[in-house]
Amino acid sequence: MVSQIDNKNQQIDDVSGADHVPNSVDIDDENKTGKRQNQNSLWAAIKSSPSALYGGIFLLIIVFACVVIPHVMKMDPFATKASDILMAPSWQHVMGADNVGRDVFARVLFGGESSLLVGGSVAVVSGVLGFIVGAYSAFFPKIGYWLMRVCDGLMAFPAILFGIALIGGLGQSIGNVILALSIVFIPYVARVVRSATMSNMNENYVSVLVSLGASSTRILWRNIALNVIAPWIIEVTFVFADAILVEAAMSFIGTGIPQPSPSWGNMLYDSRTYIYQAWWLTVFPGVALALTVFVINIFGDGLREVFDPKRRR
Amino acid sequence: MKHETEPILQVNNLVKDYVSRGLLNSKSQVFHAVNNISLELYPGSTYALVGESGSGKSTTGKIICALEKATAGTVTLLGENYTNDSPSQLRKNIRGNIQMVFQDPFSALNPRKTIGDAVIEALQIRDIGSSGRERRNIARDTLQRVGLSVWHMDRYPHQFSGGQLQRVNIARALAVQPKILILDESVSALDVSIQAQVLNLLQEIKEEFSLSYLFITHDLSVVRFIADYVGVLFKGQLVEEGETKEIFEHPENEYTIRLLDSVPRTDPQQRHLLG
Repeated sequence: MVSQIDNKNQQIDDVSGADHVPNSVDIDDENKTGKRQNQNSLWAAIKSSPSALYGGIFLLIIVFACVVIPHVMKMDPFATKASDILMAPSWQHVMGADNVGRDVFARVLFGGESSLLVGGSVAVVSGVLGFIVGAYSAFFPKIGYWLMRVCDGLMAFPAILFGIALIGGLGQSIGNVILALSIVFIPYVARVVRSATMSNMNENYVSVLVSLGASSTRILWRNIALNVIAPWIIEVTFVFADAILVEAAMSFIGTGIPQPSPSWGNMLYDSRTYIYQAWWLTVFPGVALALTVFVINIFGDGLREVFDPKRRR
Repeated sequence: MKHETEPILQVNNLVKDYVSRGLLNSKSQVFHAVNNISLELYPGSTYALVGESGSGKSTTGKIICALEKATAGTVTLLGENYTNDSPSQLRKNIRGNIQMVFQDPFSALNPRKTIGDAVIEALQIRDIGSSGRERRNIARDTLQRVGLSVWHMDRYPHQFSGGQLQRVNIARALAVQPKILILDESVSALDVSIQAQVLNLLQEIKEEFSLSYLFITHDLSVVRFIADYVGVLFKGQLVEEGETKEIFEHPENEYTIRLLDSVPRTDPQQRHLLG
């Protein structure tokens, strides 16, 4: 039994020699130190990339503000007050009040909640399905050829057009917005996953697994998938941001989140009429939208840096 | 070559064609990567396949390892032809019996798996060992056998040097108890002192695990050290074949002579490598 301290010392000098191999070391002891080291290095990598760190922190703040604060503070985005109509920002209404006397601050936060809900759901649904489609289309080229032609077809539609058509057919609801946008964004995720999978399939470790007789499920999901996760996460964050933007655009033209539920898009639409009298109706939802998308994109860029193998070597 | 034993691996008239079709001309061009190669590998011996790059050495290795399909010809393991076997038949009869060690040790390991897990996964695939703990112990013993230590098991490939990684690859191949090891330029990417260590290791484990080697290389000085038989490949054809000593002392083919002449000599007085 070799003590931990001795191991540490031996780790320091180079180890190519087999001469000083301890013969009866308890494996489980060794296990823990190795795992912890790896987690630390991931955390160190995130810290080393300012955009991932600050993007992540600001994203958390936005999520907290939109999802927790309005419920804890018991804000009401629907309460109207005739005396407050088009009231400029003040202590009573931090972001002013709209044309029917609703508090803009509450509506911006609730709108953010539904935006994040749509963006997040679309990112998860199209992320998962895109991963499956992309991985299989790379692994089985014949199926993949047809899957990719379908994806090409889907990508030919502008997201908005597809969304409008689907909402027109299925009716206006937040679920249908998520469904429509998920279908639109699957091909983008699938493309990224497919190309990453294909480049991994040329690696020798796949040949080794084949020559060991591994099943294709094991090769694809227990080996290649591990190496595809990094580009996949990055793409999913960008889909997150894009979905929020497209949802806002759909709400702006009236096919997104149904009124009177607030969303940044339909708030901007409502504010058009009053843009000369009440700037706060346009500025606050607009800034919230721009800021959120900006922060998510910064976070995605940061993740790209973190996962870049050249930085992690 | 006279032998009392049966060959463990027999390659008969192996052909591998690559067909390329141009965008404008409808005529397809056929490139013979491997053209009518026959060779025999005997139990416990080392057969070196030498030749310049593009001569079809690696393609031959991949076909023998059933990673690529041959256009024509057969490969038999212990008398059983597996050239046209289905993937499931291959999994049952061939996989695990023939293992390959590649030139680039880094690319042959999954960068997101620890080397311990890589060896354990090989054991899982071949269904060796009954419990996770037993597999871990087998993996540890095998890694120790090739000169690595227990604390290496939880490290990732990028934390190792090339020589250590090649040891890991060898350990993973050994763990599944193969009969034949195909070494495709396995030491070419290592620097000379590490090369010697790995070659010595290969010599040691060959008897210990009763292996046969198919050694694919362009490095003739390595061939002289490790091989019993040599086959010289030139443009997909086997131009000369024989015992190592015979080939080095009395090369008959013009290409073999040129190949031998290209090897730098350690002693300028010495006219031939083995002279």
